[in-house]
Amino acid sequence: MRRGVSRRGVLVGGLGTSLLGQLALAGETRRHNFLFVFAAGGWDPTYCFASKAGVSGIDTQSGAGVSSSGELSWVSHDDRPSVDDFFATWGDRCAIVNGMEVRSITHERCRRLLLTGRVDSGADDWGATLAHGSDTLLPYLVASGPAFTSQYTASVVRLGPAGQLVELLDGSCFSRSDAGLVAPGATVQELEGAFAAARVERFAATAGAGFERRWAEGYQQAIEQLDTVTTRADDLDLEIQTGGYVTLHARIKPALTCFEEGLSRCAMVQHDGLWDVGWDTHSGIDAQSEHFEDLFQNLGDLLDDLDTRFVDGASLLDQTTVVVVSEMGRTPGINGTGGKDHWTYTSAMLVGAGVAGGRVVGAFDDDLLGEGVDLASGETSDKGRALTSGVLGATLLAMGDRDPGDTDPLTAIMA
Amino acid sequence: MAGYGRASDGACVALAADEPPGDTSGMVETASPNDTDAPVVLTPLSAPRLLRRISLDLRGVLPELAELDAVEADPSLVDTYREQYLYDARFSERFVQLLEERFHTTVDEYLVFYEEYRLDDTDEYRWERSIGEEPLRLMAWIADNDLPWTDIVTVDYTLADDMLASIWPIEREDGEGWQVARYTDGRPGAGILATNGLWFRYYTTVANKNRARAAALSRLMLCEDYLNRPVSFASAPSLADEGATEEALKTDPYCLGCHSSLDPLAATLFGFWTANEYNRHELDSYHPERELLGEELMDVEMSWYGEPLAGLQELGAAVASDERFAWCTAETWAELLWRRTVDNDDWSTIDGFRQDYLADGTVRAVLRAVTDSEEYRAAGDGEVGRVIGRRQITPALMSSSLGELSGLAWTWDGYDQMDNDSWGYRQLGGGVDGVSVTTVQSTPSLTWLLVVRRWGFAVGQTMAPDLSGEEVRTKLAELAWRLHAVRIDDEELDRLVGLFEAVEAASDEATAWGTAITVLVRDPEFVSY
Repeated sequence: MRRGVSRRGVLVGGLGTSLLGQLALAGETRRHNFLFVFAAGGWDPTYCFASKAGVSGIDTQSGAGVSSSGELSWVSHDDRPSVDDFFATWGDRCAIVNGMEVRSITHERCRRLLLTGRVDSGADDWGATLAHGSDTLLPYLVASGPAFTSQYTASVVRLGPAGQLVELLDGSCFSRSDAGLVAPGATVQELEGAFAAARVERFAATAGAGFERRWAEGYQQAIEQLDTVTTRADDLDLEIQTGGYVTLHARIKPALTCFEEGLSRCAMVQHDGLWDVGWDTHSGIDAQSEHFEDLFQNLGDLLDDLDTRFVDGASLLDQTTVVVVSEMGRTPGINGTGGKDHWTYTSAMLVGAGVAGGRVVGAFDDDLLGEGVDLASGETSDKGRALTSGVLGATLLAMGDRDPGDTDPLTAIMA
Repeated sequence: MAGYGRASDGACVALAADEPPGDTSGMVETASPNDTDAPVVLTPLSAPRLLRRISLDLRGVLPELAELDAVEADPSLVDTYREQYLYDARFSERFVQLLEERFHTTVDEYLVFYEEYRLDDTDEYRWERSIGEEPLRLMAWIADNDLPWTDIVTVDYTLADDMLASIWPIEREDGEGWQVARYTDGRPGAGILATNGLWFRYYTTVANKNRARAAALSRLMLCEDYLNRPVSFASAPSLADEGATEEALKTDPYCLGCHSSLDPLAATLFGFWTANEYNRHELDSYHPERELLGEELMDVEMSWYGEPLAGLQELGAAVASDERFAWCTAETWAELLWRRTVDNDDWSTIDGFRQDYLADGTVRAVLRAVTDSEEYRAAGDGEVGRVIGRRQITPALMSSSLGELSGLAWTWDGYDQMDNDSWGYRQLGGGVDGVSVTTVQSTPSLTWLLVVRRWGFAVGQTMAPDLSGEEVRTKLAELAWRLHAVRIDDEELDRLVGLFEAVEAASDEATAWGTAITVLVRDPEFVSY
C-alpha cells in the first residue's frame, strides 16, 4: 500500500524554521518553472515533427500527411489522433525546433550532450543549473530519467522509481526490511534530529577551507532541506503511482504539485514509449508511431493539468516551460532489421511559458541533416548557425534568467 | 617550486626557490594546478583518520580499536596496517565495490529479464548482481591472488557463483560463493573480455556490429574514450542508408578518424554478436561459428591499432601488452582512490604509479603507490579545493563498514536495499547506478542525508540490544573513537551523554543506545573519510 507523506508518519527535524523554509512558506514571487520530458532511446522526427514524405533516401511512415495550424506544421497520421489533438489545442503555445544536432551517436553521451551541452562529466545539466539558487525546497525534482550534476548535486532530488523518497521521509522504508526494523517514535526522532543538526553546525564552523568547507556547507544545506520538508509534511504530496504501467502524466504529478506550491523550479520525467519498451527502434520502426501517440496523449493530459492549476491568478502553464526532448534522431533509411539506427540530428519541442509558440524553427534538408538558422528570426539560411543542444541549453538558460555563457540562444522561440 | 617547509600551524607548505626550508620532516609538496609559483598547502590527515581512510578503501570496514590506539601512539604503524589490509579477507569484496564505480556493470536491468530464466521474483536481485559482478569478481580474484594484472584480459577462466552456473554454459569448481569456472561453449580465454557479464552490460545491436563494445573496451582498458570525440554528420558524406554509411566508415576521413581503429577491434568480438539482442539464448552463449563474421559484415580485418589479430584471444594479449594499459591502470586507481578526475597536472604523479605497477605487475602495487601518495594522505589543500580531503561515504561503504559491526544487512525480499535502485536506496544515497549516474556523489544532498539517517536508525536499533548495561560515558567515547577515528572531546561527550539520558527518560535504555549510535553514524566524521 503506497501512501504520501503524512504528519503522523514523518520524522520531525530539529532546526526550526530555516531560511529555505521561510522562503518556501512565504509564497515568494512565482518563478519560471521548467519541466523536462525526456523520450528515452531516440525518436524519429519524421514521424511527428518534420515531414519528409517523398524525399528520396528517407523512409517515412506510409499514410502520413502534413497538418498545420498557422505557421506550425506537423506530421499527421490516423494512428496518432492525440498528436493532432495536441497541436490543435496547444499549437499556439508550441515551438518545434528541427534539425538540432546532438554530436554523438551513443545513448549515454547523447543524453549528456543534450542536457548539458558537454560530453564530459564536469558539467551540470540545464535543469540543475536553472534550479540552483532558486531558493526552492526541492529545486530539481527528478521523477524519472537522467540528471547530470557536477557542482549543483544538492539541487537534484530524486523521487525514486518506487517512490523511495516518500518511504525515506515517512519511515515506511523500514517496512521494506527482512530485519524487522521499525521507525523510532516522534520524540526520539526530534531529539536525534536536533542533536545531529547542532553537531553539523559546530562541525561547519570549524571546517577547513576548500573542499571541506563546501562539503560542510552542503551538509548544512541538506539538513535545512530535510527540516523544512519535515515541517511542511502535511502540504507535500510526493507520492507516485507504482506497480504496473504508470503513465507519464501520473509519474510527474508530484512535480506539478511542487511547482504549484513554489517548492521546485525544475522537474524531469522520462517517457519510455508505449508500455515502457523504449524509443530505441533498431527494429520495428513503426513502433515510433505508437510511442508518439502515447507521448502526446500524456502531453495533452499534462498541459490540461498545468492549465487548470492556478497560482497567483495565473495558470501554471503560463509559469512553466515544458521541454520535450529525445537524445538523438534516427537514420533516414530503414536498416536490415526493419528499424532505424542512431542519427545525430533530432528535434525538440518547447511549450508554455516564455515560448514564442505556433511556429517551427530550423529544418532538416533532404539528407536529414540540420540546416543553418538565423537565431533571431528562426529562418533557415546558408549563413545561419548550426542548431546544437548547446543552443537549446543557452535558450533555456536565457529564458530562465541564467547566464547562457558563450553560446547564443535561439531568441526566435523566446516570447 | 623548489622546496618545502612547515607553516606555523604545522601544515606543509611548498616554498619558492629563494625561501630557506625550515623543518622538512613529513612534508608534502604538490604543484598548483593553476599557478606553479603559488604554494599549495596539503594538510595531512591524522594517523588514525588516515588509517580509517585506508581501511575503508581497501577492505570496506573500520579499523579495530586496537589498531587505532596503535597508530595514535606510533603513526609509522599506518603502513604496517596498510600492508595487512591489502591482504585482508575483505579486500576482494571491497575491490569489487570500487570496480563497480568504474565498470558500471552492476545495473538493475539488462536486455533480457530474469523471468526468461524461470527464476523466482526473489531471485531477481541476485540474478542481476551475479551477471554484473562476473567480470569484477574475476578481476578481484586476480588482484587478491597477486597474479599479473594483465591476466584480467588473458586468463582462460572466469569466476561464477551458483546462479551463473545454473543459467549459463559454465563448469564451476565446488565451493560456496564465487569460484573459478570455465565456459563450455568454446569461447577462447580473454579474461573479462570473454565474460558474459561484461557484454550483457555493454550490448550491441545488429547494426552496431560490436562497435559500442569496442568503445567500452577502449575506455575501460586504455582510458581512451572514443565517445568523447564529437560526432557530427554535418561533416560526413551522405549517410542515407546502411550501405552508404558502411562505405563512409571505410573511406571518409572524418569517419576513419575513429572507425579505422574501432572497427577492427569490433570485428574481434563477433563470437558475442547476437542475431537478436533480446534473445537470452543468443546472449547466453558464445558463438564460435560467428568469429569471422565481423570481417565479412564490416569488410575489415581484425586488428589492434594496425597489428593483425586472429581473434578474441589475441585481442586480450594485445590489450595486455599495450603501454596504454599500464597508464590506464594507474589512472583508474588514482581516480578511484583520490575520488576525482585526473588531468594533465597529475601526469607525473600518475607516471610514478605506472612505474610502480610495471616494476611489480600486480594491481596491489598500484594500490600501494596511490595510498602512499601525498594527495591520498591529505585532509585538504586549503583554498585550492582540488584535493577531495573528505570522501563522502557511499551506500556500499555504509553497508560494509557497519554491517559487520552491527550485524545489519538491510535486505528485503531478496534485494539488498543499499545496492539497488528499483526498490532500494543506492542512487538516492549517492551511489552509482551505472546508467544515469556514473560517478559517486561527492557532496551531501537531501536524499543522501535521508539514506544516511535511516541507515543510522537501522544500525542503532540493531546494535542497541548488545549494549545494554554498558557504562554509558565510557562506551560512548569508545564508540565515537571506533566510528570516527577521532577522540571525542569532553564537551561533545557531555552532549552525547545528555542526548542518551534524554532519550532514556523519554523511552528506554535500548532506544537511548540506538539513538546515540544513530547520531554517531550521522556525524560528519563518520559519513566522510
